[in-house]
Amino acid sequence: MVSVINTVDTSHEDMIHDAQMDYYGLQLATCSSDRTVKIFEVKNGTQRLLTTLDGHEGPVWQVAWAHPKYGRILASCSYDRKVIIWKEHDGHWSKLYEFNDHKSSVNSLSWAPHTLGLAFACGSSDGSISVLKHMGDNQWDCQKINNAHSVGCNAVSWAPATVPGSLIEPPSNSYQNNFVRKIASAGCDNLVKIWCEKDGQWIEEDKLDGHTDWVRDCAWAPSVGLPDSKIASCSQDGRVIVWSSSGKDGVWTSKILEKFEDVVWHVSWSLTGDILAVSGGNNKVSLWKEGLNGEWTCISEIGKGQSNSNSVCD
Amino acid sequence: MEILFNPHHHETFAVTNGDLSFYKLCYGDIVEDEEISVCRFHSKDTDVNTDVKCMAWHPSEECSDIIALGQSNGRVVLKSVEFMDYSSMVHLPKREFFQKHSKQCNALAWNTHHPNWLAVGFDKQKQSSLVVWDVNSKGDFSHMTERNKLSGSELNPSPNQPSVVVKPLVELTPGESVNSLAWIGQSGETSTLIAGFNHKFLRVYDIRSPSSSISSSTINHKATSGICIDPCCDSRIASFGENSVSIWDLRKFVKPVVNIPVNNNIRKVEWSPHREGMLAVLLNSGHDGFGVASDNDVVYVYELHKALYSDQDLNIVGYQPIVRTVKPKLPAGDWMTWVNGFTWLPVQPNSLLTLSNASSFHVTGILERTSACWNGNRSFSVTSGYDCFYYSHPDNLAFHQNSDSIFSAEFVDVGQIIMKRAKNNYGLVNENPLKNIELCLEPENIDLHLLWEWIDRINHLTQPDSSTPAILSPSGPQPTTGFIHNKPRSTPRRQSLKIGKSAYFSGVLAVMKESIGDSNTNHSTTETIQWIGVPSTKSFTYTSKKRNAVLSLCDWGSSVGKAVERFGRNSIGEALVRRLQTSGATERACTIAVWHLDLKLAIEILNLASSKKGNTDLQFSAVAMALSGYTGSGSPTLWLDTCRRLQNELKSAYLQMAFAFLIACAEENKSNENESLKFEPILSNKTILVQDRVAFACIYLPDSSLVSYLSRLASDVTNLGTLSGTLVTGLTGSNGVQLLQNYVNKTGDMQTALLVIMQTNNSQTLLGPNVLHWKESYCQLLNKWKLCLERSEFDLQWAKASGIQRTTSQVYIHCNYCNKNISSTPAPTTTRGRGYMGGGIGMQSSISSCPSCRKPLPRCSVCSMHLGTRHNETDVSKWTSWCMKCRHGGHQAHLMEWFEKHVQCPVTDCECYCGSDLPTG
Repeated sequence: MVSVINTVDTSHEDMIHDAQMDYYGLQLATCSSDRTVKIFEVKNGTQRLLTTLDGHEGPVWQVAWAHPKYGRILASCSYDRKVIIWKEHDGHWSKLYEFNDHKSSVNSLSWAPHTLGLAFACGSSDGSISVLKHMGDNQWDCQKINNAHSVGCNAVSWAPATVPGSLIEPPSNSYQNNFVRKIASAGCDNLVKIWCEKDGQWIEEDKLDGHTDWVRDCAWAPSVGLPDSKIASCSQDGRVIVWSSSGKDGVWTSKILEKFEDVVWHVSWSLTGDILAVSGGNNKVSLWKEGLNGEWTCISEIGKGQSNSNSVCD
Repeated sequence: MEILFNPHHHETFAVTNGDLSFYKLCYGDIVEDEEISVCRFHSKDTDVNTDVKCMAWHPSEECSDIIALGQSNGRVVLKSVEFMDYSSMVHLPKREFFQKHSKQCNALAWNTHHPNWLAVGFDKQKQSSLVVWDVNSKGDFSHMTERNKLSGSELNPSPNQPSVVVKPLVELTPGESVNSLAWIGQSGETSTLIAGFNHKFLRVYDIRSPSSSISSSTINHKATSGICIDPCCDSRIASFGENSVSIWDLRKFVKPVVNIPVNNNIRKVEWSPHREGMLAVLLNSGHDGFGVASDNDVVYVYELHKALYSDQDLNIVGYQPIVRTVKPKLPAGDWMTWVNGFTWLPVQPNSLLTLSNASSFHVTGILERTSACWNGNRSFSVTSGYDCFYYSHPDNLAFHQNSDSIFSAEFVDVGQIIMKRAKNNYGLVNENPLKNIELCLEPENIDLHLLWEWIDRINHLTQPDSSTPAILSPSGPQPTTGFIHNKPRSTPRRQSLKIGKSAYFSGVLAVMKESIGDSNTNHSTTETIQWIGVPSTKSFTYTSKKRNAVLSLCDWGSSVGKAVERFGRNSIGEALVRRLQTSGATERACTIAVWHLDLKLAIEILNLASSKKGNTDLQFSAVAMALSGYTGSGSPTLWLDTCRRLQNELKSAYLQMAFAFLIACAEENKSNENESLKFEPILSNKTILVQDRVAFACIYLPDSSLVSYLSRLASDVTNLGTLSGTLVTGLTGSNGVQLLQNYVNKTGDMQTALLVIMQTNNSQTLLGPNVLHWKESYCQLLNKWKLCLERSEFDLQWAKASGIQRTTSQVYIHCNYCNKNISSTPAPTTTRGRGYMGGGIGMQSSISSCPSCRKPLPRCSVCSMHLGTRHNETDVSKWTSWCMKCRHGGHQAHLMEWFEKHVQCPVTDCECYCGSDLPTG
């Protein structure tokens, strides 16, 4: 894969844990152990620091952009047990909402598909998952899944809202009910769990057992014209597993993509869901694609030490 | 075993293992995972190089060559280590501190703030077991820290009398052996000392207090060994006891914040000097003669997060640090080798220097946790440690096939291709579907090309402007298109057959089924055709109007209008073969010539090709030779056997199938095989284009077996998602949609599936769940890529294709004075304005006043001219736009220009940050 590497001089004073580009790829939000969130404008390979958001009292683990139709909204979750929703207004960023109902570090945060309204889910080391929905006027309705994972929840990921069949019905008042409300979560109980909202309650729909150590991350693949649901998960045991389900019988089948030597920290699907980025240690990121025979192959590997900016590599 | 880097000279380190040795390390030579070479150098004073129990480098820079050594005989020796580059410098004599009847010295610690204070801990003894010496005191070395004076001869005691009894500054008598000790708060002024005693208790002393008594309560805890303070966080302390590491917070020094149980006895713990809360732990080798404990070849690194609050939250229930293992690459399979000692590299972050029991040094890095995450714009960002970067695809990189194989075949990022195609208006150029072949950006994807060629043929075959249905046109030369329509064999039958677009889109299978089911005149007739080039040999063929129509759809129509016969000289068949030959498809042309029973033509084509290529390729000549040997059903067995062997050696599947056909015809009379089975090798050969197989079947299969063959083929291509198979399955049936869905499953290319199926204009098909899902996905992608124009173009076509009413305009501009809609009323100047168009005076025709009340429209906030556009203005830059918040606006082009440089509203005194919401980059 040919790509240009743009190094971002973040001026964070401690480890950087996450960097997320906004919907249009114009602004980059980063977060760090130095307790700050920074937002950069990214243009033609150069970056300009727009703002530094202070407010967290511990390392900030993850940031996430809301869909732009709700305005410029960023959420961050931190070790300080808080989730903060930030909003830009007239070029100025300010804290919109602070959620601190977790008893321990909030490790992961994920916005719901925009068709479900302004809502997000977050998972905490206290083992619970919270789903917050904006009810208007900065009122947030919180639904909590207690004891989702014993010892702690490491990651949450929403299912895509649209699956085949959900759009058959013509637009009507009940239109929204056709959308899928599901969350996959990864935890320290070595499990990936799937949660489904039914009658306003989040219930455990499935339990994916395949890892032998903490599951660090899980990611629901975007469904781009595909009938199957896919979830990728990665674990401290070094395994990356792709789970897939045809949706009809609700059976999930697992396929071990690879067993790595060290902890695998994150998995991320490309926009069209055809390439999976797997990040292990030391900047090592590998890209995987499923072949026609259903086997996953590594199509690209990005090693460490590529700090020279704007170089073309393949 | 202890390894200790000099705090000021990072290349120098000392190693004690009973004896003492010094090494230099060259950082440039470090290769991770390999044994590294170090340069050992000796100190002159060999007598103290034994029995060293503990050591500590002098903390100040001017005395950085001095190391304090604690010995098992209770003596503490200060000695200067002669660095290579210090050889010309002072020769600091050996200096010793000792107490009478002292027992083993267990721990040493310099105070960084008072560099002359050295705290020393001993085994349990009658006198104090914890003392602090002022190394400057007692006359002999009154100015220890002043390096120059140290070197002065008058202060230099005789080397023969090195032992001077110096009274300690502080003597503490806890009555227990000291396991470990450390000064607290090394970054600022400090006089507090923490010490651990004999696996019993930990105690903090303030040595300034006159009584030298305890300044803090005693903590009874077993973790008294290896006390060390996190260099990045003064209040965080680690210590260890048996099988457990304890992390303490000094601000709440009551009990450990975290206890980390481990599997074996601990040898050493050390905080990372670079990263807060990162503790490396080495366990005992555990080598017991019977085998090896599994832990002896790794160093564990625990990642602890910041302790946030000094209240009870420090005790986080169920808290577990992340464990990383650092495994130096010791000689493989050597269970006798294990890690004996380690230390963090002072310069290179996150790397450990380890020493094996075989005295080999290794540098091993700890892999940073990395997060990679795809962004919407086909790029992804990576964070790792302190690094943050993102990969992006430059837009200007073309999809050239030959540009250094940038896009290897096995790695095509579908998303990227879809975006490029969308920008190219792929699939939306209805007037010429062939253009899509170029726009699809996949020059290798034959199936995709065939798909669009098929769409193109359907369009031509159903050209509405030809008065009669194209396939019945008696002489329909359309030289401009190059596609001419097959004429049925008998011209009088021009009245009946009309195959519409929808029929073609329902697929060949559906057409043939309908035709067979119809008991009318549509039954196929058989004909006997005379071979050309083989005397007195004939073959049976089938024909009907529908079959001919299908042949045209398979691109087996002719390109010269005069030809009416499929077989023979100047026939449709010959024209087709010539056309293929010109396009370079020699093998295909030859085989199709054979299938048209024209061996002369086939041989001619082969000869032409081989003469063009020269003598390099003998295959064509050989094939020509073989072909000429065919003598119909009376062909000799020898010839048949030879051909069978030759057939298997041929590379081209088409040429193979030419022989398969000949062999089948030759053996016609010998076996009583079913007609359809006779040609089975040809019909089931997947390397032959679907259209050629279908066309072949249309000529040589009788009605019943034709339909069953087509059904079989349809399910084959559907399962495989073969795009060119849409010829058989069509697009409007469930088979066709399933075929496309399988193609999407395989490739993720829902764009092609969606845009092709839109060609059918069949609303029932288009509003099916699969297609709607493709549309939804595709629209979301276009939104994300900000391809607004492409999206609106697509929406228009979709509305046209699906027959769904377009949403009518919901926003109107109304006049401030009369409240009438100014955009819907045709401008009074329109008719006149058209006359003036061109020459740059088109602006004159724009309305600048309300068409109803004639009051002027507002002015553009940038150029101060009155707003207003011509009726049906197509140049977006001349349109009017305004901010949804402050309602100020102006000409689109002017606003764009303004907001390139500003974020605030162009209207004076308006504080609105209109520009900050612009999604443009």
